[in-house]
Amino acid sequence: MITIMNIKKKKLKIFFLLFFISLAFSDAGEVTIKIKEALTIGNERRGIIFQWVGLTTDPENNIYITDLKDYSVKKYNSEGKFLKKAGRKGQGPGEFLTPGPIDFHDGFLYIGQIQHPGIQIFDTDLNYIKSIPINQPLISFQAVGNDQIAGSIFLGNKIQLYDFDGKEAMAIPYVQNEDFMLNAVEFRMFNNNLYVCFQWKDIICKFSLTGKKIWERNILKVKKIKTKKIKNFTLPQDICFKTITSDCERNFIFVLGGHLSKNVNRDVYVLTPKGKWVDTITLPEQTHTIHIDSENFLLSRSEYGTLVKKFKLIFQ
Amino acid sequence: MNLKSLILTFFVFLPLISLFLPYNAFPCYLVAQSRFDSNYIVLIDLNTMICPVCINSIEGALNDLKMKKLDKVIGIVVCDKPVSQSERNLRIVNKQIMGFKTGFKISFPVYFDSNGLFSSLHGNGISLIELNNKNNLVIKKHLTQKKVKL
Repeated sequence: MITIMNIKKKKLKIFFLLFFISLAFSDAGEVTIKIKEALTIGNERRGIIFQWVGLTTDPENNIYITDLKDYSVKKYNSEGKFLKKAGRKGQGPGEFLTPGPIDFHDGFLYIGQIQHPGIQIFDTDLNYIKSIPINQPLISFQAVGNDQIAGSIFLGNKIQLYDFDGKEAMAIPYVQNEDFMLNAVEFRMFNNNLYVCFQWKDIICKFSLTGKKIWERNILKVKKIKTKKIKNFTLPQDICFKTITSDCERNFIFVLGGHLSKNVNRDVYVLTPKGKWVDTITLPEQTHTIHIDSENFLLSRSEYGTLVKKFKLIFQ
Repeated sequence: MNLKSLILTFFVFLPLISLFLPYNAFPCYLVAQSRFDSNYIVLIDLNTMICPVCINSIEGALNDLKMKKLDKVIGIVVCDKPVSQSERNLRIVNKQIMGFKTGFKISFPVYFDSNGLFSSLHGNGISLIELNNKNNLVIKKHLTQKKVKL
């Protein structure tokens, strides 16, 4: 009888020990994330947002968008009031052919182009400052300080850092294989780590800035991506992940899913910095990108890029 | 339907019928065409217009049009596939057209062929239809690289 009691006590002790260990190692606890629509920027019929592509915010939460249709960059305040527009079609300073990704860093805006090389720097009043002559188009880029730009390319396997003269500095490899066609990634660097999501693979990874992989997650549970053979190339068809970003309050990772998500182009997977899945947010409309400002508002696309929607992130 | 009867239908019979119909009962670009007495119709392919990379291919054609200083022109955005007629969809396309006009500094009116009346004349890029004074002779030129099926 005594031995049975002892075994039960031991089991209970082990149970509580495991429970406290799991609590100690858990970095999220039970968190659910909800969104509440806060603002719509642009007018459904008469507005001047025609097809926005890239979006970023500054510390005052002014919103900057690149517009593919009128070859411009536009500035709105945090309440959605239009402030200024710059740019026109062309290949000169301050001109665009396909304005695309945009990033804010240390008082300046960095604007790239879709399928065109080079990055242009503007100040926050949208005055053109200078160009960075990077010799290949970047899928994704981030201004990272020390006058450097980090960028990923279409057929690459590393995040390449460039100086402001466009010269290659150090690189962080994120994959070793030579399956270049499937290695396109979106990425974000913060807190001395590199977070990467693959466009054509069900992989989200965290690396140190020296290139050491810290964790890898497969959120979608997809084994194989559909491909199509065009001449000698085997091209992927379904996008797994579209963009990756983080919030300022908890440093959670927000990854926008693509065609293989349950809700196509609407599901946002939220992970802790340690790679633990926290929640999945479903946006009301399909979007190609998301951005989170310093007050934890999530900005996304609406009406095929003619509107910007702003949602408050509520952590419960 | 051959081209001549098509043109007669669009530019003679339909505008005549439109006189007996309320304005909204008829595609606005045909009413506009009859009022403008336009001599040129510029057909713009929707797929080219909404494609970020393809759209630069029509810049040369648009510049040529500007050089010609055509004064009686309307633009019509056409699509080879049926387009959803939902209010939301039409609103989005119309906004894209506004952006396209702003981006390329186009001064002539541009309408969306939501009813697909011009889909048989559809070609990739930009085509120009030239009418004579009586609106019954048509010369169609494809202004961008790909040839059009007539």
